[in-house]
Amino acid sequence: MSFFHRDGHTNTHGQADSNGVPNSVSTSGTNTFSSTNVPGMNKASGATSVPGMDTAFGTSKRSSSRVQHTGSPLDMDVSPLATSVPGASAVSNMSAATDENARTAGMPSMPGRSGFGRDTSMDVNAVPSGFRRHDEVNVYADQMREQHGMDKRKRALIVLILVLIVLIPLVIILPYGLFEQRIVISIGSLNHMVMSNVHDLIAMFADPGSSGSEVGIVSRYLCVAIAGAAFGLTGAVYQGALKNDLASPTTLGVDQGATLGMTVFVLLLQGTMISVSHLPISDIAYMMGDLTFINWVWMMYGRMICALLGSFAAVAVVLLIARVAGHGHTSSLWIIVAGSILATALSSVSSLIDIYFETTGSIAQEELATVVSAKSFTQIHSFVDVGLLVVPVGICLFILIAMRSKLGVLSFGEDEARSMGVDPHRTSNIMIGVTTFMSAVVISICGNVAFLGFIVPHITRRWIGADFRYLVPASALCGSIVLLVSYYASSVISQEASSYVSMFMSLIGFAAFIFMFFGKQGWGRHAGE
Amino acid sequence: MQGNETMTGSQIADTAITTSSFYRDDKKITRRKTITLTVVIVIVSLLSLSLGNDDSGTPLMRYYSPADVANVLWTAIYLGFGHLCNLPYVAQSDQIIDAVGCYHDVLGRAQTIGIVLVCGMLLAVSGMLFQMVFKNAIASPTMLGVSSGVKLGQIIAVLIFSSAILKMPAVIYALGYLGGLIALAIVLLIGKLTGGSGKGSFNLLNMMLIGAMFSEVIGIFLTFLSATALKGDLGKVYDQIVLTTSLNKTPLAIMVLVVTAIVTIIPLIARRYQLNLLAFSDTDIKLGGVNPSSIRILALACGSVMILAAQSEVGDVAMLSLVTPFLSRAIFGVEFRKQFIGSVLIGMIIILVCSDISAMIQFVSTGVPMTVIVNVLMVPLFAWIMATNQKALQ
Repeated sequence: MSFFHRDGHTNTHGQADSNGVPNSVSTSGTNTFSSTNVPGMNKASGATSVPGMDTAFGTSKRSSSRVQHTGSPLDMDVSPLATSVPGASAVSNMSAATDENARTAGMPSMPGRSGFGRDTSMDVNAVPSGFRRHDEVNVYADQMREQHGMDKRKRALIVLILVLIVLIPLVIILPYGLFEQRIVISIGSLNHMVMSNVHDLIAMFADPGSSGSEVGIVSRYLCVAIAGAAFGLTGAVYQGALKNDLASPTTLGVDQGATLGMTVFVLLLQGTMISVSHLPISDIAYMMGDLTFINWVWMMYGRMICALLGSFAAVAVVLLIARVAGHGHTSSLWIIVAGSILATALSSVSSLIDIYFETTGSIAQEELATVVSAKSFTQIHSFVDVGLLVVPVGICLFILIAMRSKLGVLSFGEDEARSMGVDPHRTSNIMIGVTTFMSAVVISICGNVAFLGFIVPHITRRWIGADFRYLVPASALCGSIVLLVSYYASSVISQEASSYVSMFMSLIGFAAFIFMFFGKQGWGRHAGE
Repeated sequence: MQGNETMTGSQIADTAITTSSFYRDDKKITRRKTITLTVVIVIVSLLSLSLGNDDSGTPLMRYYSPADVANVLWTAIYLGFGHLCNLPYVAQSDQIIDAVGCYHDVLGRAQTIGIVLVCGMLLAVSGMLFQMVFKNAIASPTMLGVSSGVKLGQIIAVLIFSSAILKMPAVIYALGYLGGLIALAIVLLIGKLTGGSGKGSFNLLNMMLIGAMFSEVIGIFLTFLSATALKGDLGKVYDQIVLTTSLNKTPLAIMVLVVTAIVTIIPLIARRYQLNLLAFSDTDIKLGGVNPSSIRILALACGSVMILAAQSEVGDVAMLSLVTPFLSRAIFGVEFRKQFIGSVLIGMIIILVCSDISAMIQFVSTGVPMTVIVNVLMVPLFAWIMATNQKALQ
């Protein structure tokens, strides 16, 4: 329909209006009115959590394309007039039927028109038949397509949720170490292993005081799912709020700060609170009275606390630099530049410490290697850890998902956002703050798998479109699924799953991303939105 | 301008004079800044000749007085002139050199300074090009996979030759170069395949994302490899190579560096006016009579090759290429030619100062790697320059 959208059609419409053509005006009016009141469309745009605001503004580009489609009958009714305007020769490839139909809609022939266009001295009172119906069909088809698109997005969300619901029990129940025992497995042994696993699980849930390996496995998978969701959502929010496609959870230096904090803990603070450094760390020791409460907390969670403090410190420095550089205003450009600079600086400080201990050969070197190398999910042993992760991350997820449609408003630009009643700086600062807190918590408890947050929103955007109302929850679900699959794949390869997770994750993510690119006809049809 | 009707001829002439004098002043200011920075470079180079950058293997810095340095430089010119004209005193060149004393040390330092300066120039210019092409503040030339490719090549070199690799810089150099080129080719190929049909059509955003993801993927593999395969001594060897506490001063490396610099800088200078168009949209670039994709590919290719050459020489100093364009824009403005000159000069100064500092500090058994110095020093520098200057906001 591109040839209807040209410069100057409002002028021609004004002409028609001033010439007193009631038929034409009323026709276009009813067309527009009826097309914006289709129930399916209202339902679709009303299906959001924040009422009032995003019914009108929440969609970014899809909504504007809808406006164009519904506006087309208005253009079409006056288009023959436009043929009289010199320079509008692009319209001449309109079919003769359109011309005729427009005339039948009650347009008078303009003086001087015969000089440019085709002959216009035809009957004015013919029955309006083909043109309007054809056009209505077009509009209807567009609406159906839109509605279908909306449905497709919802369907995709439901599919993702279902996959997640199926996946979590599956990866817990399916046996470990298949490939270690033998490559070719028999169905019987698989069945046996699955049954025994299910048995163990039931026993675990029946006995509340149990603390076996099953508890560790189940809680670790729960943490994997939550961390995946958190990072997927973090990436989507960062890329929206900072308006940069290269933004990722590590952009503000969160993970480098966490690494530095853990390094400091391992080197300086680990032995300070307790004299016996090689005591078996467990809650039994606390119950037996060997440890005071603070000591116990320090032994169990000291590393996490240090990581959290380190990442907060890094983010604080980033914000400070951004504020100094931006002369008191904290704009997203300075945040992102300051973040990437500080992240590099912190990582090189960490590598310097690494070199020092590698060269001097200290005792802490082995432990330091586990900190610096990207091992993840090693510190989760019980449901207490899951609770530590779930409570803050759950609150943050709730806030972010409730605020997600404001991201679409932010993408219009500052002035537009302000005119829509959204304070752009405050909104983006709140969202970045909440997101950073969440990713710091996840990184400190689960380890660094933040690459997920960069790659997953890009995959999801190519599938589900750039509408943040759908993109944000879908990114969370996709992140969860990708991380679960990666963790399971790595645990199949090796008992020590943690060192392979990020590798599998990057491979799966990259493959999915490339697949989205090549599949332009199918899933990738929203690409570039 | 509202008072157009009442403006007399003399007023118009005044306006014209003001405008032209504005441009003249602007040019003068730019020239003054350029000269200042050049003088700073010369002073820093002379300083580092006398007190920095000892490459003899010991981390201890050795100080040579300016008189000694001047003596060495004079002797070098004297001998060079003699060689050129085949004068009789060349026969006693050994005695002359022995008489000077620190001849080889100072000349070694001069070589280092030359290499470092060229690398700083390449890093800064490539960063500027990438930020211009992608219009993204954190686009860095390592994004198209070059940096990760170089590191992968070096890791492979370490895995094949183990610790013997330290004795063969040419192999490290070749494998690193090869890895970088292969990674760049893969990213460009994927970008081309996914960029849609049509001749030379590159979807810029897609290519940026693919490049970033590809280099992240390789980076994760590198982390994994260095955590598992490169334990113990091999890890130390790899650290030495990647962090490059010593420069590669073989004739081959220097030749490759110089040739790369010449080959990549000349097309940029030749098309300096067209590169300004990169700030506009595709349509506007076409209206300017330039093919947008050709100018972009030129800029990207030049930038990638530059970072490849620089990184295989001085290590992973991508930070320089991120920050220097900001500083250059803050001081010189956004016009390509000025920005280019500014990037070259500022990049040279920063990297030279950093290499001097890294040579002066004693840390463990080697010095502090230059990468670390650059990365840490950039943070306060960036904050300070940005706080005192508004122009970089563009």
